[in-house]
Amino acid sequence: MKHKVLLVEDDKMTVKVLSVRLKAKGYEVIVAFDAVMALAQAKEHKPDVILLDIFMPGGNGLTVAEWLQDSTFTTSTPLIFLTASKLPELREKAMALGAAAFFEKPFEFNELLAAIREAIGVSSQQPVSIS
Amino acid sequence: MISEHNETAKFFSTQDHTPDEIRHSGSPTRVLLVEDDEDDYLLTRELLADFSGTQFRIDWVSTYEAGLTAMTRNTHDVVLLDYNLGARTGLDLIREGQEKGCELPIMMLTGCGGELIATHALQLGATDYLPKNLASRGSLERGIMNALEKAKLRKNLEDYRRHLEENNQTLVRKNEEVQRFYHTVAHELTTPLTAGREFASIILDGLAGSISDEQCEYLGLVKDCFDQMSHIVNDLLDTTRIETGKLSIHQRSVPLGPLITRILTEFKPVGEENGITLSSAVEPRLPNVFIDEHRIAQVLNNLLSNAMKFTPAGGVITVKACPDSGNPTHILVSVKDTGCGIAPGDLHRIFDRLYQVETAHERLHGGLGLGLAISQEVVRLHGGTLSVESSLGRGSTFFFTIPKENATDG
Repeated sequence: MKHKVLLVEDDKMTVKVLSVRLKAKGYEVIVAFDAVMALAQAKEHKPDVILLDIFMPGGNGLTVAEWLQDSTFTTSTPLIFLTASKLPELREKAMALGAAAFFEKPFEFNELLAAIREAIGVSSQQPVSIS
Repeated sequence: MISEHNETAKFFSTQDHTPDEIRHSGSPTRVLLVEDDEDDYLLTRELLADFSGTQFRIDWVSTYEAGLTAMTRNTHDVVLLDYNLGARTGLDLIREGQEKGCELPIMMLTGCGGELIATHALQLGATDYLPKNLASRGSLERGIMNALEKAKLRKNLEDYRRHLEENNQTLVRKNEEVQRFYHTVAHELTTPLTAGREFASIILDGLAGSISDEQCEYLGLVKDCFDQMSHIVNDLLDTTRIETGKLSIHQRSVPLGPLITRILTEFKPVGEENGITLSSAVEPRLPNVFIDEHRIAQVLNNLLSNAMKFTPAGGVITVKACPDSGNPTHILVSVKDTGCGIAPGDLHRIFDRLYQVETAHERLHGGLGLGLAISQEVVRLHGGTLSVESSLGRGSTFFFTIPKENATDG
């Protein structure tokens, strides 16, 4: 079975690039362009990992992360943040939320791929927590 | 003394008056006399009224409170102030008057043995003092004129200082605006550049179907151009971050050997293409370093790129890492080339942000020349130093130090 990646990102170029690359590596890619769509897609598809942009219309990625962690469907789904911003406090906030990784754009796709593999591997070893 | 003041005044002011000019300017000099002794008032009036050619208008007040009110109105040219004012003193009045906005030159009139009071008065901001027993027609008038002149010079100086301060603040603000603008431009360029580069890569990697060798070659050139532009834009972004103090690093424990090997491997094809040998000498059993891996990789990249630029075919570039003999908490890394070297006169300037050694050679290689300035800042943020040893025709060695894994604990 293919691992599912939910990509929450409003920049169409980034969505296209990452979709093509991730599909080529055998992942199923689900896309959400904003915060509300992210929650709906997460609930419907139950992804193995969620890639979250931080600045999006309709909600900050950090807020979306909190919503996702509150939702029963995605409580223990690993989160990887992507942002074009270089504000150091964003990284701190993201890590405080328990992010599996944090990438400043532009980043090397192979590094993201390694982080995704690690996040899925680590999380599958953890017992599923039901809240 | 007077001529010295005038020279200074001409430098700062467009409206110069020597005491002589003030004396003959027509309108009377308004003197506020704060004096509780009527006899002394009468004496002062006499001394000033009798002087030929000078017009003084004296307003006399005999109490502290009336003095304060008149002083803070700032409608006189000069204040003559007695020390004894009932329960309080002239010193109190100087202090309170200035606190409440008196900007007039103040001349303290002191009794015998008043040197200490005079010193105190000058410290508080009085312009001058005159012992009463020395007050004569000439000395009082000269004293007032000098006080006026001094006050004018002081004001000119203060205006000049304020003017400089304002100009400086404007320049600081303008510089910040320029930096912000550069940052925005660079940031806006990053997104389309990255997208262009990524799509070229996707096609090159065969993810959008097969392409011919020729198409592959051309697209490779397109990608190289994007890489080059991204590099320049990133350097520009880093420079604006340094200028605004926003360059930050994220340190963690990293083994140094594999990092050096990885970067040398990346440079190997360019080295082979240019006939340059790359070698490394990393001392075995080096402890891990506590660094921002991306940023130190950037420093190594910058130093190796520079070495590549200035080393001719047949040359050797060596990267070494060993404990820093001068600092037990740090590791010393060096990048040595057998290139053209740097003239002693240029050595101290190569780390300047806006400086490039002006040679046809450098222009041939392009770039903004920001790499060394950025590298120096990155190393500084790690608590290390970046330095260079070089002589013309014999190559250069760049050294930098980075903290060992547990350096921050001790």
